[in-house]
Amino acid sequence: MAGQSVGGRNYNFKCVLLGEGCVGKTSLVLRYVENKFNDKHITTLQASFLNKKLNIGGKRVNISIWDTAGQERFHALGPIYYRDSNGAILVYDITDEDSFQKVKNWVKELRRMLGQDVCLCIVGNKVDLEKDRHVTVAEAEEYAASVGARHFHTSAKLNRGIEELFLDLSKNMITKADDNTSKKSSSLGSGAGSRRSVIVVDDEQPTQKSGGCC
Amino acid sequence: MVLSNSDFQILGNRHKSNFDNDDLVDLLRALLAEAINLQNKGHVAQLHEVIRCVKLFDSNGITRIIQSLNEEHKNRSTYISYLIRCRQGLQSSLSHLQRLLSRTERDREIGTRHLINSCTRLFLEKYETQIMKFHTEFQRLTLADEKTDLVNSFLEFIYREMEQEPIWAAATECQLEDACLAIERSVMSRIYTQALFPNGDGDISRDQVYHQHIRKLSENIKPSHPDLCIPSKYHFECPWPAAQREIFLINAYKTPKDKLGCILRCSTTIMNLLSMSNEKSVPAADDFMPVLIYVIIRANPPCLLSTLQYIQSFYDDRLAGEESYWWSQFSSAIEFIKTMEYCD
Repeated sequence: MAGQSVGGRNYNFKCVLLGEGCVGKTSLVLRYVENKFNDKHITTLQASFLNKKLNIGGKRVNISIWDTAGQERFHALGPIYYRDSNGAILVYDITDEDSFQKVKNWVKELRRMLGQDVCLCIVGNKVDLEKDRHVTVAEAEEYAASVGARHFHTSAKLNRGIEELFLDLSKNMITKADDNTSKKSSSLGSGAGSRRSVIVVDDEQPTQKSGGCC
Repeated sequence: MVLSNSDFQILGNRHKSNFDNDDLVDLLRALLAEAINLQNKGHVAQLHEVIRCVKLFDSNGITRIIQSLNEEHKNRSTYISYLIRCRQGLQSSLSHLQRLLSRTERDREIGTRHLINSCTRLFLEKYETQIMKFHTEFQRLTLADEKTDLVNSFLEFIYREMEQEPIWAAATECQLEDACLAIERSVMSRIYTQALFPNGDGDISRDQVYHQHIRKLSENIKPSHPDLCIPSKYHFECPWPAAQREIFLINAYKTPKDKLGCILRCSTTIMNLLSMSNEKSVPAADDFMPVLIYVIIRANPPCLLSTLQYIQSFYDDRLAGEESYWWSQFSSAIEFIKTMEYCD
């Protein structure tokens, strides 16, 4: 089944966006998907569920970006959102030490609930406010490495680091998906039986409505 | 004459000022440069010729040419304005026709759907005994996943039968899809009560408790409730009646897919309303979640917990993409309301 499409497979990834209220999660995705920042002519009606299609080395990738409510009181609802996600983007504000602590909490929770199957990406946003930095680069990068996550510095305002962040995350998710399929197929003899648990989707399956951004 | 084509308009604007030979040549040169730039070969040749001719005239001749052009322009202007008016009229009748067309399209859609529904009814009548058997078997089962499997296999059986049925032979892919939906609707409505309340009275009273809880909450709920803290810029559209109307209808839909569609419409309505009061930025999950909770509390549709469970057991494996996102939002709102406390 998976081999039918010519020139590679189609990947469908779910990616949750976690982070405290004011860290700029929304600006980050909007910048990525629409290349816009606080523009008056934003065409998107909402920024909570967005799709982005990529082509990485002939592999077609569709990332669904799930924004989550960042308010502390909704924290307990997290598991409903990050269930079955392939990647998580954990955003903190480099000028806000507290938001970095929140990211640490999220990392612990995600690793506990989803194990190593999820690709984590820790993102220090608002690097345009470098002079007010309260989370040091060394501290953040060290922490990310210690939990097996990637670390990026971005600025949604200046459009810095965002493209790289998503590209790297997608590549990671592809690698992980490929690993999982090969593991599955070697353990089961044939991979065709275990389609549901693998996120690789065939060409002919029209899983995605292209709604969301119109 | 070349000068009387579209460039004439530009020329016309300049007529009032004093015009001599050099000005005219300059203008023509500018036009020539543009033509060369656009690779408009025929135009380039014509312009070269015009420049050559104009150079032959003295300033008197030029004035005469310009005068005659001016007159011609004046004569034509009424005709041009007439053309513009015609165009306006045509445009507006075009848009009127387009509106009519979309109305007719919609009528056709409704007609087709009705036809399909009738066909489905006819088709299902033949399988009445099987459906009865399925119904009794469904009532007999107690485990949730067994029920799900039974429904799925029964629907698959019907879909397979459909392929052999002559009434569906000429149907298009789209119509078949609609027919499958109609069949699902009809089958699900048969077992609806048993499927929605698998544990009978237990489920009903659980829903009642939840309903009471929301009713108590709704007595004092304000957008500024400490658990919601909806920012004041969104208070103008409060209490989002359009969204409340959508979600209140959730029990009118029988299949899990239709229920999900209802949730989706409610969510889009909220997002639309939120983006209206938000000129600079786009509403995201941070803004959406509290409003959704507020809307659910105010609408308070009955049987929410059973609906949640119903969709989970009969639709979970079909959830994908955007649908699954809004579904998560909805189910987490339901979860959150459980934890909310009354305030005075």
